[in-house]
Amino acid sequence: MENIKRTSQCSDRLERQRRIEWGLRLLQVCVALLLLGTASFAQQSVRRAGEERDAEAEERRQRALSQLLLRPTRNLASAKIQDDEILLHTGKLEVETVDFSTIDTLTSGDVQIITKAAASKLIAPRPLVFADATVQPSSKGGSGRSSYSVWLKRTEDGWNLVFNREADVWGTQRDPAMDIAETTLTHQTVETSAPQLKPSLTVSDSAGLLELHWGNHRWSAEFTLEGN
Amino acid sequence: MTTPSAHSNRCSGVLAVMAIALVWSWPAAVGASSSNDEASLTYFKDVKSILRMNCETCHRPVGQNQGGISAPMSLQTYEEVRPWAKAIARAVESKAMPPWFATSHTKGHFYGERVLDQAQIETVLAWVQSGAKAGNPDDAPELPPFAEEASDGWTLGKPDLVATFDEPYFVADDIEDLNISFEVTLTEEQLPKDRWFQGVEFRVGGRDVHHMCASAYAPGEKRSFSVKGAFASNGIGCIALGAEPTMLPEGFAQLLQKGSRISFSMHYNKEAGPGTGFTDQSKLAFYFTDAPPKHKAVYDAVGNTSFEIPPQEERWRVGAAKTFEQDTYLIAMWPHAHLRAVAAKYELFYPDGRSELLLDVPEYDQEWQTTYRYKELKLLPAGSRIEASMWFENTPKRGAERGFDPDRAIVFGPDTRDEMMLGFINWAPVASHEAAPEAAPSDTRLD
Ligand code: HEC
Repeated sequence: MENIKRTSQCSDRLERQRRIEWGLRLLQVCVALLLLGTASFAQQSVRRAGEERDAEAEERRQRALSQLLLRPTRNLASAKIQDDEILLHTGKLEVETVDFSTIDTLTSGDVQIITKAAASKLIAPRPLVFADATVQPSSKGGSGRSSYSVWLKRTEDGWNLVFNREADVWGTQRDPAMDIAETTLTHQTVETSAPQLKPSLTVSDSAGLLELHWGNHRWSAEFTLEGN
Repeated sequence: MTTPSAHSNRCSGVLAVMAIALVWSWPAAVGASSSNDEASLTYFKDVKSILRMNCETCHRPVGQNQGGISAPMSLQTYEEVRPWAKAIARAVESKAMPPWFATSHTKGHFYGERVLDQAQIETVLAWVQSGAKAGNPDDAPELPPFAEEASDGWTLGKPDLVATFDEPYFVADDIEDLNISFEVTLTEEQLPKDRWFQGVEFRVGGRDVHHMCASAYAPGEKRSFSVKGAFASNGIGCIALGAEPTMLPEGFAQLLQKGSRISFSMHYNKEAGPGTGFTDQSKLAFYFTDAPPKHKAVYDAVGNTSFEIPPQEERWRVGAAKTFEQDTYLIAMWPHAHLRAVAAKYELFYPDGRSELLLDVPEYDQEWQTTYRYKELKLLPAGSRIEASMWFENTPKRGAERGFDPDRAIVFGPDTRDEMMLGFINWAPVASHEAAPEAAPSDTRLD
């Protein structure tokens, strides 16, 4: 009897286990169906959204991707003037590098060369207006954004910022034939030292301030976006 | 009296035949080179050896050549060659074949340079123009066997270690394009201790392997998509169309640590459809060296990962540079980019201001991943800088050819549809006294 009872208990337990298993399986199926449903709904909603929205999403994805990609090797600054985003990035260049020490050796007309990083790069959605120059879009990108490499140039009595059409060259590869504009920079020697070349962009109302801070050097220029 | 007339009839028949023959052969006679009597050019006597030495490495049945990545048709016998005669003339005259992408600036600098000299080109053209005759098989010169015929298909000889995926992989019928990785851990039996390898040879498991790369990860080292790190410490190499097995010079080697994991990164590309599936178990052979290496070879990339190619650009330049702090041997270069890449260039800037063009590939094609390996190593004095540039075309025209959307801005990424700008270089410091394992650089990890 004992034995029989135990077996029946046992079979009860098996039965219960089986039921639980079935329940779980059913649950799995439900979850799977639900997921499938959501997926196909998502797909439909993407389809419904139309090509334009797709393109925008793609654009956002690209931006996210590129900024994420940039972080390991670049110092980033970004700012918004109304809805327009501007991005400035530079190599992570220490003050101990040869590149920093060349600053003091430049004479009038020299453009600074950077050996250890790709050129500093500025990305803007519309023409940039500086006090003494307007930087026209350099590429006919569908997104309307334009990118430039930017270069420090020593002048007789100070510094200029040179904009070059080849935005993705290395810091040693500037081709002067590709320069498109040049604007005066304000240069200051500041107390706080930036251990790495540090770009920054700040916006008040519709005007922006572009700054590069490296060691005790600080270069800056004010700008607006055309149409603002 | 009827006889003369009959005679003259027959005579004019013969004349007509002769005239036709003359007209037929005339353009060939005019086009033929002066040195060769074109009428006597034959496949066996004149052409077989040219094809054997310059074409058959690729143009033969898939299998043990070029790691198994090969050309669409075999050109090993007269019967195989004859139907292609006109195409061969075209390909040889235009210099499309044999495929070689570096300009003549670097003529003679690299191993495996695939070029025909002018006399060879003229012989092939004249032979085709004169009717691509077979001739007498006895006229064929004695030709050396293919290197791998002696050692089970391996060009570099019998390998010390062959690594492959644990199980064959079935590339299913419905697959058209697939990137997939397999990882295997080298067992104690396979690799009882750290070894230095001087050479590697890939052998792919089928024609539809588009390309194949391998990396080695030391025990405990995280597998990652790392821009500098991966190639500095982990990269072993790749094979694709036009790549050949590689042996480093004497005294140079790369480290393979005991217990390493080998990661195979496979790219399959074929037409999808019933019956197109195939089973792949590609292999990688290592050739060890017992002498401790004098020079630790490094795989590295003069690369740029921060670029963004705008939509609709016709010629977008992306650049990169690397300065060598110590005297360095440059062993090889391998420009690597994807669908939009149209040109690549490497330049050397010596510390004294001189510069030199190292490699110029004016028509880059990602289908052909060619490694340019120096016959005589290039010595870069400390302070030298290598600059690499690649140009990208993001236009509707190229988009239609290569299947991409030119309205997208493109950034760095691993997918064929993303881009890359990696000027791979294989180099070694001139003085590296101790050959201790090098720690994997930990910078620029992107995973
Ligand atoms: C490194 C490998 C390789 C070598 C060496 C090579 N070929 Fe090719 N060949 C190919 C591949 C691959 C193709 C397929 C077309 C392509 O992908 O560009 C091809 C295509 C061809 C074609 C067809 C072109 C057409 O009309 O479509 C001809 C003809 C040809 N090769 C002749 C030659 C001759 C003649 C030689 C030697 C003088 C030669 N090949 C050497 C790889 C090679």
